[in-house]
Parts: sequence; C-alpha cells; structure tokens
Amino acid sequence: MTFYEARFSPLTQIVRRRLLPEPGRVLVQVGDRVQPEDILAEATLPGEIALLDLAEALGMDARSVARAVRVREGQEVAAQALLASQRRFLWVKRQVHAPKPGVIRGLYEGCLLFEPQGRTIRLRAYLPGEVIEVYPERGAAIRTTGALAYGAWGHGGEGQGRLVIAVEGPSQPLGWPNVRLAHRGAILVGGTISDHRALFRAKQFRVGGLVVGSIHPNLRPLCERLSLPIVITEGIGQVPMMTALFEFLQRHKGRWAILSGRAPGPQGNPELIIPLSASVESTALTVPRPIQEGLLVRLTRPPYLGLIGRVASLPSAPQKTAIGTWAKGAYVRLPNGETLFVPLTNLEVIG
Amino acid sequence: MGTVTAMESIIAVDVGSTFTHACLLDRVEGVYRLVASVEVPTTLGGPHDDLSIGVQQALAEMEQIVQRRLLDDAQEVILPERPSGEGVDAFFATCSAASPLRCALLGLTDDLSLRSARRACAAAHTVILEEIALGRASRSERHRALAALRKAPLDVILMVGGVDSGPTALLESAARFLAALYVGLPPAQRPALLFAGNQEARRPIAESVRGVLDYRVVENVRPALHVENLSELGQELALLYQEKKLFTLPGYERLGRWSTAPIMATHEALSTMLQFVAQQRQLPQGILCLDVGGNNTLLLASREGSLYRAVGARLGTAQGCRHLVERKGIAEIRRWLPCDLTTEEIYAYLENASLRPHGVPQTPEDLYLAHAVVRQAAHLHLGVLQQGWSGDQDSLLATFDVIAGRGGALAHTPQEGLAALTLLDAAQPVGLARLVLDWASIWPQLGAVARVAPLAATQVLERDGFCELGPALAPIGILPEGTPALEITLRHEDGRVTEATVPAGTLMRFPLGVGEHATLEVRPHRDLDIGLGRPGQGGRTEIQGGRLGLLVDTRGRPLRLPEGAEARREKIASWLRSLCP
Repeated sequence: MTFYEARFSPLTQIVRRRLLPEPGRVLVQVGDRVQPEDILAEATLPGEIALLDLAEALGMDARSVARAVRVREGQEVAAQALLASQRRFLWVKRQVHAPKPGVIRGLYEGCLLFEPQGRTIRLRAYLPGEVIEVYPERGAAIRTTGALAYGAWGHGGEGQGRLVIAVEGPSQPLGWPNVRLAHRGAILVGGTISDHRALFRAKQFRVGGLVVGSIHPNLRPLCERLSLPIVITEGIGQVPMMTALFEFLQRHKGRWAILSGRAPGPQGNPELIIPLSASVESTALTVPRPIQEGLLVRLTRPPYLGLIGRVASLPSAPQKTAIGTWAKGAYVRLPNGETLFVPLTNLEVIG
Repeated sequence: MGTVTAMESIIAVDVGSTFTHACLLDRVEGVYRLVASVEVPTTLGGPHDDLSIGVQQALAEMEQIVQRRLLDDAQEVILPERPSGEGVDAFFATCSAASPLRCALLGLTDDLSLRSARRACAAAHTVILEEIALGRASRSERHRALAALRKAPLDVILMVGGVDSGPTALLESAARFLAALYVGLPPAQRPALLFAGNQEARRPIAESVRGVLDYRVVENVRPALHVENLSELGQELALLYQEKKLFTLPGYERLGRWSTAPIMATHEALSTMLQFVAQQRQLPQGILCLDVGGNNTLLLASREGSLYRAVGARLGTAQGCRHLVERKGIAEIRRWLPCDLTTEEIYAYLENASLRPHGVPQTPEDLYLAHAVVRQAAHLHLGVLQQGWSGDQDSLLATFDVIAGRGGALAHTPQEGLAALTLLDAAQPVGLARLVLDWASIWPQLGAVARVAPLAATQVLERDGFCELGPALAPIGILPEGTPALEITLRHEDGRVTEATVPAGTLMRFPLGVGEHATLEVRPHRDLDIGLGRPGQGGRTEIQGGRLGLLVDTRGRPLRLPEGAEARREKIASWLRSLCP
C-alpha cells in the first residue's frame, strides 16, 4: 500500500529540520522563538586551496625552490607573512607573501599549496516558529503553522517576501510586463511562464521568488542559471496552476511567504509556505496516508497533467488503462462530470 | 541477518532508485514457483526517506494478494515461516538505489592506463567527474587540475599508470600533492585513493598519503604494455560502491537485518543470474541483457564464462532521461518515434517524466517516447560495452542466443510487439536470437537467491521468469528494399509447412506459439549472412516458438532509418504494425 503526502494543505503544522553541511555550533535552544532571518547555527568550512607558483614568482627552477621557502608544512601564517625569498642579484630580492591568513599545506614541484583560513557559514531559521529539537553540532528543527504547497520542481534556493499575484487567473502567463520594479523582494505568483524576459526582469528587479503552475520546457535551463528562487507547482509545459491553490494564494496576497526552490530529492521538495497564526494545538502535522475514495487528487501524466478530480472508486484489482497496460488505479471524477481510470502512480493527493 | 532454515518460502526484493520490486517464491506441488510479484515506488527522499518503508509497503500489498501475513505487528518481516503459514523462510535483497560512485581518474597517459580505467569504471556504478593525464600536462596545468579535485565532490580517486617496474616519479609526486590537498579537509570529506598502477609505486604512495587518505591497492590495470587486467579493480570499485553509497542509504541497515544473505548490488545480482542462465541453458553465443530503468541503464553480456558490463548511471526513462537528452540531444530520441511530436512536446513529456518518475504512460505518444529513450540509452551503452569487449569490436555484434530486456518501459509495455521492436532496434542482433523479457522484474532477486538456493532460482526462472517473445532471425548485410532477402520454410511438429519469401527492409511474423517446436530452414540472398559466417549460406535448425511467433527482420545491419522525418515515421509505424497486429 502506497502512502501519499498531500501536495497542498491550507493550514497545517510544518516542521523543518535545518542542518549544517558540516559539524559546527548550534546557537539556539529548544523552546526559542525564531524569525526566518535568525541564525540557528554556524560552522567553519575549510578555505579553498590556493596554488602559489614560487618557481615562477622567484624566477627559479622548480627543483631549487625548496631552499628559498621560509615556512614549513603545517605552519599557520598571517596575511602578508613572508613565504619565500630569493636574492637575485646584490640589490634585487624577490619575495612571495601570504595573500591572507592561512596554513601552508606543502610544496609541490615549485608550487606552494596555501590554504586560506576557513570561511564561516551561517544557517538561518528559514521559518518563523519555535525550536522543537536541537541536533548537537548540526542544527535544529523549527515548527510553525501555516499553508503549505509542494512544487513539482524548483530551483534557485530559498527566498521570502510578501505575496503578490501578478496575473488575472491560474492559466495566465507571467509576461515580462507583469514583473515590475515595485515587486522587488516580493514572491510573484503567475499561471505559467513561457517568456524568458519575465525571468530576466524578475532577476534584474531582485524579485524574492516566483511561483507558477508550469514553465516552458526551454526555460528550465535558464532558470537553473539565473539563481532566482522559483517553484513550479504542476509541471513542465503549459499547465495552469491548480485553481484551488491560485485562489488560496489570491486570498492571502500581501502576506509574508517563504519559498524553497530546491530540486525534489532526499533533502525535501520545493515548497511554498505561508506562515499563518494558528495555535499548534488546533493544527496537525500532515502525514502521508493511503489514497481513499472522496480525496481530491491531481493527475500528473499527459494527457491529463494538471487536472484535478475526486476519487470516485478504488478497484482492488488492476484495470486496463487507455493504452492497454494493466495497473492498479482509481476512477477519478473530473469537475466536468467525466470519470477516468488513472493508475495510482499518476496521481497526487491534493488534500 | 536472518538465519537459514529449510527454504520452502522466499521473499526477494530489489530496491531500485525508482521502484522497489518484491516477489514471493514458494513450493507449489513440490516445485518452486513465483507466487506473486509487486511493484511500489522506492521510498527514498520525500516524506519517508527510508528504503525499508517501501519494502514494507510492497510486502503489505503482497499480503493482500496472497492473503498471508508477511509482516508482524512491529512491521518486521516474519522469519522463518510459522506453522500457521505466516511469514517466509528466507529473505533476499538487492539494491541499486544509491547514487553512483563519483570518481576522478589520474593516469600518466590518455591512451593506455586511463583508457583501461575508463573501461573498469564503465562496468561499475560510477560517474567520472575529472580525468587528469599527468604525463601529458605541463607543470602548471597539472597543478591546476590536481588542485581542482578538492572542489569536486569525489568518493574515490582512481590512480593508474605505468607498467610494472616502470618510472614512478610522477605518480609519487601526485600522491604527495593529493595528501597536501586533502589534509585540511575533515576526514569524512576526503575521497579514497585507489591505486591500480605500477606496483613499484605502491609503497612510496602509501608513505605519502598515510594518515590522510583511505589508501587501497589493487593489481595494475596495465602490468605490461599489451596486457590489461581489470578484474581486481572492478571488484574493488564494487566494494567501494557498497561501502560509500549503499551502506549509507537510510533503511539499508534494517533491510540487511531482514536479509538471509548479504544484500547484493543489483548489477552484481543480475550478472550472477545471467551467467547462471548462460551456463544452465548452455548458450554458446551467450546472452545480452538490456536493462533500462528509470534512472540507470545496465547492459550485460555473458558469453563463454566471461561477463561484460556497461553501467549508465543517471541514464534512463525517468529521472535519467534528462542526462540522455543532454548527451545525445532530442533528435536522437525523436528518430525512433512513429508519431509526430514537436521538440517542445518531447521536452515537456520527458521533463515531466523525470519530475514524477513513478508515473506510467497513458498515451501512445508517451509510450513511444519511453521506448525511444530505451532504444537510445541502450544504443549508447552498447558502444561502451563494445569498448570493454576483448578482441575485435565486431565480435560483440555477432549472434547472441538470447537478447533479454528488462526495466519498467519494457516490462509494462501493453504491446509485446513494441517491446520486441525496441529490443531489435536497440540491440540489432544478427543471426538467430531468442527475445525474452523480465516481465515480473525478478531477475536480480533470483540472482541473489541463486547464491544460496540455486534450485529455487532455477525452477522459478524456468517456469515463471521469462516472457518468451520468440526467436528473431536477422541477417547481416543490406539489400535494396523489396529485393527477396530470405526464403523461409517452417516445418511445424504437426506436419504443417509454411513457406515464404521475405523481402529486404521488412519485419515479418510467422505464427509459432509458446512451447511449439518447428524446423526452420533458411536460404538467404547471396549477399546476406544469417550468422553462419558466410554470405549466401543457408541452414536448418530447430526453434521454439514464443508469444509473437518467429520474427524475421530483414531491415539490414546496421539498421538504417530513412532520412526524411515523415518517411522515417511511416517506416517505424509500419514495422510496429507488422509486430502489433
């Protein structure tokens, strides 16, 4: 029996684990209230190795460089510390200094391997809420309440801002005129995107992120280059955003929203979260559940990609699909009254 | 790990990156049979992120089918089988759900040891992220290339180079560089260093990297200029894949606790199974298996006790189709379609398939695209397989006794004719070959079972493991379309005789049901070789039928598709009609 997680929940408890990529220091405690920009933990990552070509800098043969080196392997040095020195003629001396503080890692064929001091990375809370668990040296879990919509695809990392509905309806493309300077820092909602200029403008105007139903297949590589947080709710092509979701977002325009444009994978799914003030007690965690009669579902495979319907019945035995394959599935009633047999693997539970 | 008792009932599961397949084997009237098989999405990522949950879901579904309890209240597999009939005696597992091993290759020259290392990697579950030919680069290029390794997320650095007793200076200094490069990183982020080069360099390299890198040594891949030795390297790469990738999967440990024998990597188990089949059925020309899954493609050829393997990590019909498009372009996929789709439509279909990898096609176009991807992925890797083939490259294109297909697209094809056409197009077999499918997706599991309970594996394989599509006859050579290519006489056991002349450029079916035997007599055109080594030479042989009967493919080898898009579509559609009445 397969369990499905609802792809859209208007009000639910949301728990997100926030972890450092490397062990570090956790700065919060269980019970702390945090805002999205608050720092939960920090870690120092090793610096990127720099190659200092001493042979070239000193004008020496690579095999003779060792005698000009003034530091030893493993030695920590300050910025501008003398690393190597060679007297060329009586009055000419060539010297190499450390570009920044760091550690000497070794000498290799006339080249010094220099590792600058590590850089500090900081892990932000991402959600406004309460710290409910701390993972020593790694991070914490934050709980909040709000609306949650998972995307089919995302890219560009995390973003946040106030929600702005930039189009009239769920099938209207987000064109470049819909993206305006006034949208700086906002999360823009559109039906579809098929115009690359809209993406460029969003990037140029520093929009906080984009949420659209679908994206033209040619634009996906561009999205991956732009580093603009984007979440696609339905899929690739010209598929309108689910009406229920679009209307929900319309009702919440102006609210603060949080976007994660990560690709679906073990780290989680792309998602849009609108924090809503509700008591933790009055909401429940959305847990995966088996598909049942009466559930609202989204059809995820052409030619029905993006259609929404209700599960009318669940035959226990595999049924024949339109192309003749046998599959376990559900009869789904569409809003126009038509009933289709759809394999379970081509369904997503909406709520 | 569970304990072994007398194995009456067995559960065997294969956890792939897209789907988990489970099968229940049990004795029926004294013989092991496949009682049920189940397919569920693999539960890595998403809300569960634990592969054992997918296995539990599969077993729960199986419980409903066979009306027998397999999981206890704590959702643990019931082992061994209880007198009440609950549970099973043994549990076997195979797994390919992990991402591939990320590799960097370091060698002296591009043409010898690095080429051998590439071959070894192609047969293992690896992706090569960096390649450095130390001997060909200038000092500064070498430094830059080596320093760049630290930025790459590597699991292993494979260092090769030099015949035994050759010079070692470059290898030693590269090892010193690597030690300096990685000493500042936390141990968990350092790759393993696998040395398969000049054995004279082993000790000095060990001295250089001691305490910094996990250093492993295997036999030199090029002990002498004209000698290649990949077996030990292949084994070590398989071991590293298990240690660094499979063992770290969430839920893997639990799966291991249930397992009667150690969990096998899927490609290892499938290799075992194919060698088992080749040996048991005494197939002199061997067996070729095309396994195109959602995220990985695996090609295996077993002949005369040798096994050749090409693993295409991240190349498949779902998540893997993006990489295929990136590598080969849309045109290479579109050329296999019998229908007219625009580039945007193809992109959209494939992208959506990669976003929701568990979905199944619901339109003919979607189905044809999946099969086009299978053809292209298999075609691409046949080239890689050929590179690993010892001796001359053409030898791989000689006849195979069996061409086997597996993977979701082939196993779930509603039309067996489409599956046969895909196998013929992808493998382009010559001579007489049997086409079979792993219809229940159980071959890797049987490979794992075969190591401990060979009788069970044999009996299930023989009775339930194959979907026999039928024998296919394809001559080598190309004739103008319509030219009489083959004269066929098919003498059935019941005395019926079918005679036909097959024109060039066609695909034809001759009725011969599953289990039926007949004598096939073939007289080819003087320019065609039916695999007997000489053009024009005819022959007679006994054949056994299949679900599609006898297939005769006179489209020529290598297969050439018409140049024009419309003519090509019409031609493929007509071939499809010939096999799917």
